[in-house]
Amino acid sequence: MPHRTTNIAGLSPILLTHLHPLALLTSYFLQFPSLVASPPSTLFSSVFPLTMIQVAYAVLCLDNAALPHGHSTSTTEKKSKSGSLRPKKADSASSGGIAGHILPISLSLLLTTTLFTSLITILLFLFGAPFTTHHSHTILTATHISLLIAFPLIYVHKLDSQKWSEILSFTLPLDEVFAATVGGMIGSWCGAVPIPLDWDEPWQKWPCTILTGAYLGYVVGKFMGMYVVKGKKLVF
Amino acid sequence: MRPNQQWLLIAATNLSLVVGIFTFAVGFFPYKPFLPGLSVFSEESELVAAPFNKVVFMVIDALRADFVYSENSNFKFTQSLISSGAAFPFTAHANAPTITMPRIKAMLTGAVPGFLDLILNFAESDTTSTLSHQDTWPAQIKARGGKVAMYGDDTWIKLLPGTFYRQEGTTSFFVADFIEVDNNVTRHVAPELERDDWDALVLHYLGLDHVGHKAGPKSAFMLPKQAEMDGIIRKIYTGLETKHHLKDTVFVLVGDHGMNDAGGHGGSTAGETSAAMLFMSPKFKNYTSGGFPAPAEPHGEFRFHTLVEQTDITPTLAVLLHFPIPKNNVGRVISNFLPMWDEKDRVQVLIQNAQQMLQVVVATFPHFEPLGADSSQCSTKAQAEEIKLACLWAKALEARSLWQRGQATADDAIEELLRFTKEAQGVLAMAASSYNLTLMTIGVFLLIIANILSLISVFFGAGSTGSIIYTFAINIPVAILITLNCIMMFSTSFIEEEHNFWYWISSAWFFVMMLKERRNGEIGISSLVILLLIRISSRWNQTGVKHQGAPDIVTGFLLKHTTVMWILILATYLYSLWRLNKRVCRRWGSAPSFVLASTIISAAVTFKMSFTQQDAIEAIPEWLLPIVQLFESAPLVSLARAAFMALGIAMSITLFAERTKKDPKRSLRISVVLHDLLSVFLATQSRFWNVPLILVFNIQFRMLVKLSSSASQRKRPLLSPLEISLSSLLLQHVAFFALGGSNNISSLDLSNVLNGVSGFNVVIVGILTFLSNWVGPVFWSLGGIVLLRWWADGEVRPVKEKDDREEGRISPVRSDDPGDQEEGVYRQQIALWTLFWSIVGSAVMASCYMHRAHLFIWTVFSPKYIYTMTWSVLHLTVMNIGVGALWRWGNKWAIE
Repeated sequence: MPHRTTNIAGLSPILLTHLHPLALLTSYFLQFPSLVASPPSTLFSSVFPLTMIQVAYAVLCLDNAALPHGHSTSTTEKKSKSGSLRPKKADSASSGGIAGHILPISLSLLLTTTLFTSLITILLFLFGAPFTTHHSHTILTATHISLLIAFPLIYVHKLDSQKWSEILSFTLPLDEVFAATVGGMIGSWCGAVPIPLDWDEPWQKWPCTILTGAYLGYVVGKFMGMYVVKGKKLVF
Repeated sequence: MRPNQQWLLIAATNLSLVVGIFTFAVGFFPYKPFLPGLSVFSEESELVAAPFNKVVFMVIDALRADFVYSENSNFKFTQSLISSGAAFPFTAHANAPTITMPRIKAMLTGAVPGFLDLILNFAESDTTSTLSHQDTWPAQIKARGGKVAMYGDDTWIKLLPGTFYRQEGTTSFFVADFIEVDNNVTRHVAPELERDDWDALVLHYLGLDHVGHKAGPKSAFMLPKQAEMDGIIRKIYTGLETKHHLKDTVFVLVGDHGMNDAGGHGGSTAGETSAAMLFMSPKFKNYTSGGFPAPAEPHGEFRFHTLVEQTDITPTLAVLLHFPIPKNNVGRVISNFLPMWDEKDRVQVLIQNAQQMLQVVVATFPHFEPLGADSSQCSTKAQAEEIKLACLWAKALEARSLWQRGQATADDAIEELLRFTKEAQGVLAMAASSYNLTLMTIGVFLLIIANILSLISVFFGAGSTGSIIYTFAINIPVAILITLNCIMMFSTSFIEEEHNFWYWISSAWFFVMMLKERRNGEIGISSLVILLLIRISSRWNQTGVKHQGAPDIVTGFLLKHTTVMWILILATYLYSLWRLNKRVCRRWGSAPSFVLASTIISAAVTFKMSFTQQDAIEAIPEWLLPIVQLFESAPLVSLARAAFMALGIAMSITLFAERTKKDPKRSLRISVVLHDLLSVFLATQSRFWNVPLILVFNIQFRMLVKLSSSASQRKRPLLSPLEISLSSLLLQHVAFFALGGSNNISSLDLSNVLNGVSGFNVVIVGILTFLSNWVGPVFWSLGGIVLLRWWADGEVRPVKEKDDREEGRISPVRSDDPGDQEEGVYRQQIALWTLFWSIVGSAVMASCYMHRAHLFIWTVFSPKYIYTMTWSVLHLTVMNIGVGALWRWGNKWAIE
């Protein structure tokens, strides 16, 4: 099924979802020099613009109806299984205009910045982030990655436990949002590659390469999800 | 393909791999031919005056230039000699590998030893590495009826057997000992200074190197050690001044190499290659025009005063003491000393040096044609090296004859001669690395054959008997792993920092395994624990080059909190006790089992504690000291033998006593016990601070057993045999680097190679050297066999439903015989590992071949090649396949 033709702003979600990566990458690479110069302060000050881009993306492109693939199956399953409280809420939110978005957005942001930032911080530590130093670097990086890859997922799937168990075992069929999440994770992982090289470039320091990898991976994953692997499941 | 055919293919692959690796090595590390016999004087050289007739040659191991010359130095007396002009100070450039034996060789012969000496350094009794048939300056002194006395590092005695008139060697076994090892030398100094029967006195002090190894160049022990050495220098120099029979003695002080910031050496950083070199004598005051600045300012990293080559010491000694310059010398007489001769002798000294080097040039370049004293055909354009040399030689001869005829000054002739020796030294240093490209090409070719064979065995071996169907060759993780690892071999920084690659890719792998667990409806805790432990062990020992010496868990925490460290060490042994109790010797009941298990563990713990007491007593917390001191009188060799013997007995009992048991799981049980015994043995062969890592590996192993077996309410093993093989391949490398391994020679650990060995047995010491440096890989390669047994055991359980085709995994067709199953998956594991090391080995070869003119060929690529040789020949072929086959054969035999 295609995207809905208009959203609450009356703009085409298809157009906007293509502009979204452009906005992300432009804002990222504009602030890249200052990120290299002083990572923590730049990361901190760029949390707000990133949040804005992601919120706009969520509201304008990711209304539940805009992503039929995830929505239709989940509601039917949910309704048949455990009542229809949450899906109903979601439906009411999507049809309630801008005001109706405020609650889901705030809740998603809260989860993103608390639970998921912590989770991703732990993952970063497990994958080799410095443990005794650079704590603000790591936590802010986790916040960024979390806003990138977790926020849209939370916004779309709300607190649907069935969905989340699928997400946490990576069995959810790939779509624009989930593929971007996977892409962002793989990208962050690949971002570690240039760190050991002896080029002595300032951008080789923590966490510049990781974050660059995350943004690029996120964008690649998103397009893959839209056009290449849509509906497929990860096999391993 | 039938199993036997696949085994044949695997054998052929390994044969071609081993032969290829060695063939390439012979071409890559050419055995340097040398001119035999002692050189003799020409008639003219014979008459040159000799400023000195005796030499005191004092080596301080790892004496980096700044230790003597900088303002932080504690060589106060030596600095006063430098500023008063009684000493000529130099910085000597030592070639990599900066380890003691090749460096001593360089100073004895004046030649640059081949890289092969590095390998021979570790098999010291090898006769090809002695210098008894080569021309050295002690041999020259002996040949003219002189006597040489030697005290200190016994490398000298091994290199020059039968040369020394009086000698006493010290060994550098315990680096913790930097007091005794030097006192054993010092106590001979005063008596020797009284004697007048020697012509050369060699002293080699190891203490300063030990301080470096133990605590680094900035440690609190360093300055007192320098003061101690300075006192000995004062004693000797005062002897030179006051004793009549020493008045014509030159006192030489050299470092054989330097050290890096972590206190190690072997590589080629500025710190490691910059050694101090001083010539001292009251006579020099007339020639140094008022002395040199002391302390001095460095020009460049660790460079002070005049920079010379380390080999320059040989011809300089020869002309100062007036004996023929050793035949294979490529060093140059240091020109600072020339004013000690009159004009005529000065030219003659240089002629002697140049003529001797010319012989080396002729031997090195068979097509070299001396032009005589006629340089008319020479142009200034770029030419082949040997033509350039011929021209320089012709010019030098021309200049000399002009000077002889009074048409030019002696300085012109000297200048031309110096130009020739400089060029010759440069050219000959390069010629030391003349490769045999044919052999190298054959090596690459053989590896290509090995690659093809291993690919065939993996491709067509799959599903051959219908029992195991893998998709090895098209398996994405395997392909990614091999491809990335091959690409890395072409980048110097990735070779130096290879550990990062393995930590990085293993983290991702076990993250995916966690998702796999989650897909199976579990939390994923097993993989998560493995992942967490990889993260912890990756910080255990800082390895690689970029952050060498940076604090890690060992240096930053454990050695400062020794109580915590010993609790972890004891926990490791207690874990083994818990594992072995009731498992080893279970046939005779629980009491004998407990007795045997606790005997093994207490023997192993006693040995580890006593070893640590001698190696690093400050690493033992106070509460433990009383216990450690109980065994103070027991010699280490016996303690090690007791531990090994207990392990051996337990192993035999396991193999023999379990034989007759009619137990369907006895094969698995035997394997499990053997692996637990192995991990006790490997703890014995590890540095004490690394023992807790054995516990880490054991926990990871338990987690993998959970994933590979059908325990914990799983119908069948979660991991496929391929995933098990890949996991243990990854963990072999992770463990290697976590224990402090790297692709750098300086990380080789020789502290546990003499455990239980009293004499010097090359084979046993060789085996122990391999085992103590490959602890982690050995744990995981034999662990991989056990894991597959667990898998086979779980897989053969009577599960008859046809639910095999889940999630696209092609599952093996079941057979009822665990032996068949296990044999099949084991064969695939060996095929996979052979494929991995064969392809990566060829990548390393190709990289060495391509980079043979690279600046870092001797410092990055050659050491990597030596590590590759060890990985593929010793670890893959001998360990994984040879010992693995023995292990399985013993096991099979035991259950029949």
